[in-house]
Amino acid sequence: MGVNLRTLVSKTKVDFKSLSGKSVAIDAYNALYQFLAIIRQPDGTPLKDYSGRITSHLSGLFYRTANLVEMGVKVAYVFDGVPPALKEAEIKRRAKVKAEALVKYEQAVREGKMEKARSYAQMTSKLKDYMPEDSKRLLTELGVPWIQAPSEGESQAAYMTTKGDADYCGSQDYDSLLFGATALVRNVTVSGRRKVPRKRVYVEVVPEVMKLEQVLKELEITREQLIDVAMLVGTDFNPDGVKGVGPKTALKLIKKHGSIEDVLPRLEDVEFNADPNEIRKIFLHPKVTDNYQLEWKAPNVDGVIDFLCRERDFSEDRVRKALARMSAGIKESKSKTTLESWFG
Amino acid sequence: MFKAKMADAKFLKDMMGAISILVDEATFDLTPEGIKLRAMDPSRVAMVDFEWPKTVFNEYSCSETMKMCINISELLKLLKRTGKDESVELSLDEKTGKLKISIRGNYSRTFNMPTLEAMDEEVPTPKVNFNVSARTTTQGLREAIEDASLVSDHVRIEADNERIVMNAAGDIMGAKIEFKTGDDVLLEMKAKEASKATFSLSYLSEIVKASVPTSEIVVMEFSTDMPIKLDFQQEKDGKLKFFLAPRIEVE
Repeated sequence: MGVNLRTLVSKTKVDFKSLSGKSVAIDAYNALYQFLAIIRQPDGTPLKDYSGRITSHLSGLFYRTANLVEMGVKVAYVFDGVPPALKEAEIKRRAKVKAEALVKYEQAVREGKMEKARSYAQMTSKLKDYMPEDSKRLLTELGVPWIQAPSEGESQAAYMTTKGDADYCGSQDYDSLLFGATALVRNVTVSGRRKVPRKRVYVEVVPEVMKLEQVLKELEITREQLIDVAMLVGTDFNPDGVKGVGPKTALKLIKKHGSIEDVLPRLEDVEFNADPNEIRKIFLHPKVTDNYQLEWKAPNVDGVIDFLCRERDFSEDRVRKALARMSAGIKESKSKTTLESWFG
Repeated sequence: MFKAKMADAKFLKDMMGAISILVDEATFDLTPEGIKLRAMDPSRVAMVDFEWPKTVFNEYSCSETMKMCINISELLKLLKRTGKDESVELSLDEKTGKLKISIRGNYSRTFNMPTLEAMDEEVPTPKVNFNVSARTTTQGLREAIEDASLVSDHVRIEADNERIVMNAAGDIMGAKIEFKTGDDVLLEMKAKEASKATFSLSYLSEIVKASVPTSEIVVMEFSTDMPIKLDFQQEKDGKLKFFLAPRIEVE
């Protein structure tokens, strides 16, 4: 979910070519949830192997990663560890939404309303324990680095951009900016054509880049103040925020009064059931690790085929073709240089 | 206020055509002294460095330094229909943010197109010590690159004091093209040390092909495994230079 800063943050649409040669630390859970939501049959059933295990996440991860590597993008995936205790309410809220969606999905299926069923099914997407494990195994075979974050994947990815180890944090959520990501790129894992929810319309999805420095400059606030804006709107750690305060109002209030502590007493009838300092701490000083290595290797073709085709019933022909494109891309990126190397 | 008039609309069309090879949305610096642009393609493999001092224009006035970003392919679409002996005048309406393009020939027409939000990014010049410098005819270089493109998608350019050799190795076929001092295409050749570097032919051919209408002579400078600089000599004042990053040969 993440905080809704969409209307405040100006973004630049970019060509995938501009990401070539750049490293992107992708929030793995964020990407996996999207694969699970999007990669489904028309009636909403996820992809499965012959024994009934879901494979939507593997399909998305495999083909998307192969495409990115083919284009010369250096991707690494960062997996969630233990969520901050404050996220409990949000996690419960999401579980409830999913449970409700499941009931509606089953009803829609009984009534034969396929489109409705599909949209409810997407909302039920649950990450089962074996899915991150599957994904890590696949990435290892693909030669793509993955990192186990101590807490949120997003904050670890953001940390890696501040250290200069990654050029971008890859996520759909704007939270990365609150975590201090110097640059965020959205839509790297969902590009191509995407169906507009509840409509029979497709839109072209292209990557969007946001730079923290530029965002703050444009909004004329500090990162601490951006976090305060987010808290007023509602974050994963205080999902409710302040009732009736949207992103634009929140920005106005913070710019006028300085901080959330100065804003809250000035509002009438507010309920703010959280300690701003505790939430601030999560964004400013998240639990992160330096214990990671970013090393890209050639894919282990036999290992990938064994896993995806023998164990999970993927089409061997398609998998081999994607691996060949991926290997060609790796070779191409090794010989390619950019002028940036001579800027000194 | 910005207004610039050029008696030959084709010259503007050709120059914009050369820039459009690398850049889609082009941010020009407009100054009282003239206009310039330095930009890289999205992959950051190639760069164009363009400048027209005000003397290139028949009339030129620009009250202060400003940036103007336009979609070059849209502009080219408009210029494509300009014929021989037509003049063109560009003027920027700062209130509406529109660029006005007035073309005069047998009759006159005026187009307008939106300007876009200008990029702030300053692109530096690559720092390279060039060991080889060669003056060739632009057309000759173009032919050589077309020849190499028949067999491969990249070419190794080698040079010493007497010759330039281009080697293209494809999957099944190969090509070797040689310019020797004394050949009509090679006008001047200097090499501090023998050098070689490999470049993508798709970039090279597009850059050279698009620059041919603007320039008859090109000065090519490079060093081993360094970017190449192609300086397309302009008849009038002004410059059109390209930099292209090398490919590193790996086993």
